[in-house]
Parts: sequence; structure tokens; C-alpha cells
Amino acid sequence: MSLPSGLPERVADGEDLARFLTSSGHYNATAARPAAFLPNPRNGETSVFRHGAEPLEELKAIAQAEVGAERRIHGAAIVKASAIREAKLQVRAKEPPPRHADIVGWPWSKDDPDFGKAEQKELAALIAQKATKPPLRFLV
Amino acid sequence: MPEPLLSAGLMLAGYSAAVALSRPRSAVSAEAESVRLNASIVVEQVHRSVALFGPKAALISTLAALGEECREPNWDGYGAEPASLRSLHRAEDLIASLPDDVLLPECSIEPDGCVSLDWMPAPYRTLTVSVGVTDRLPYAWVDGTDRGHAVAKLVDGQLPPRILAEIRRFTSHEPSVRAA
Repeated sequence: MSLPSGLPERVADGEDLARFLTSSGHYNATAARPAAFLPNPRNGETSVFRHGAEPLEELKAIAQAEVGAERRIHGAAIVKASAIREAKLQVRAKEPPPRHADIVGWPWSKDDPDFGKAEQKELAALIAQKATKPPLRFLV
Repeated sequence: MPEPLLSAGLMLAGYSAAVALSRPRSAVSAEAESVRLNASIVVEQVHRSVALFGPKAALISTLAALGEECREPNWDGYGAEPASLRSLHRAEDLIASLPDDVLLPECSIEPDGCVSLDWMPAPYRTLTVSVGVTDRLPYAWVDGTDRGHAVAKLVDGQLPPRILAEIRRFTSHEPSVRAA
């Protein structure tokens, strides 16, 4: 089954996922930092786009259209879907917008939110280590 | 100007007077010589403090800039909470209190508004500590195939010895050994 973008509903292990970097603190010259991948506290999901580093202009256009209207986009961290699954998280296609997906299944502890946060940090650090290095740098 | 930098500025103003007092003079009483010696000690200590606090001051300034960048709700475009002032101040204090032999971290703001202090000495080594509004510190590490997470508690407003030991181990070349 295809999505409006034409992509298959299931995100394949080999697919590249782009996490747009919207804070100067979410990367350094060599790598993305764990905080770049932590989930939104409101919905427990990490928003990504099913796109690799190339073509770069197309990736920039997605960033501008979907995230960059009010935010400064510093660049993107690219990671394979397989790296997300190795962290025992899932990638779920969620359109619109086209090519959008969420990293879901983040651990959460109602009894001890700090412990749940620690577990999230471990997985975010694992994913950040597996993202391509250095992160893509562009300003939109 | 962030408060620690202001404090450093005031310290340097007093330092100027100490420098003047510490200079050798040709005709001095015993009391004056005692004052001069004490001033010399102060000057030497200030020299050492400034040299060591310089990188910390720079990091605290970076953190202040990040706080400013992330002060509005949805600063990341994904629905993040604003950077918490209490977290920022607590992180400043932790940075300032780090022992001299501990490598300084990098900083980022997390989507829940907490401050993350990250040590990433190698591509396969990450130690990340969250500083929030309470005295509990969620932290995690990934060191090759060894990884884990825990929650520690501040001790007198400072990083607990357990985390300091982890940082030292992480930033050294020693393999990490931890209890499961």
C-alpha cells in the first residue's frame, strides 16, 4: 500500500531518515548530540522525514516547507531506519506532510518519569552515535 | 551579562589592587612586607583561577546563549518546552563546581526544557546527564556495546561522586567497567 507521497507505508530498514536540527546545541562539528533525537514531551514522538542526504536541495526544500517557516534549520542528522529498530523503537509513516514519519515507542515511566527519561537518553545517544557523521549543515 | 561573568569582573577589579600591593618596594616595614607577601599569594591564586575558570566561563556563556535561543515554547519546531531557568541556573552551578581534572561537557537544551550536559570524547562514547528542576539527574551512557541508564541525585548541589567517576572514566582511555 502506497502513501500520498508514493512511498510504501512500511518504512524499510535501509531507508534514510532525516531529523532536522533546529538548535545550535543539537550538534557539533563532528556529530549530532543525543538531545536532537529525544521525543517531543507532548506526544512522545520524534518527527523525521524519509529522505537521505541527497539530493540536498530537495531535503532543504522539505526542511523549509515543513519545519523552517518559523525556525532556523541548522542542518540534518541522517540515520537509517534499522538503527532506530536496533534501539527497540519503531518508525511509523505518518503523512501528511509527504515523506513524514515518527519514531515511536519511547520508554516512559509513570511512576518514575526521571528513570523513563534516563532510558530515553540512552536510546537517543545510541541513535545519535549511528547517525552519519558529520551532520549535514545548511541554513534555511 | 551572566552572573558568574559579572562576579569574575568584580574579582578582577579587586585583583588590580592586589597586583599593585604585591609589587616589591625598596623601603618597607615588616607589616608592609607582610601585606605584600599576602597580596602576592592572592595574585598567584587569581592567576590560577582565571586560567582555570576561563573555559568554564566560556561554556557558561554558551549555555546562556542556548537558553536565550530556546526560551520560547516550540523553539525546536516540534513542540518543545521552553528552556527552564531553574535548569539553566542549576547547570551553570554544576559546570562552575566541576573539579579541575574533569573534562568540560558540551551543552544542549532538551525538548522538555532541561539542560543536557554531554561528554562525547569519541564517536562510540557518549555520557549524557540531564539537569532539570529537581535534584535528580537522569543520565545514560553508550560506550561501544556497553550502554545503560540510571538516575543519580545531586549531593550538596554538586554532581555526585558516582557521576564524576563515570565522567573521568569516559574521558580517559580506560575501558568502562560497571555493575549491571
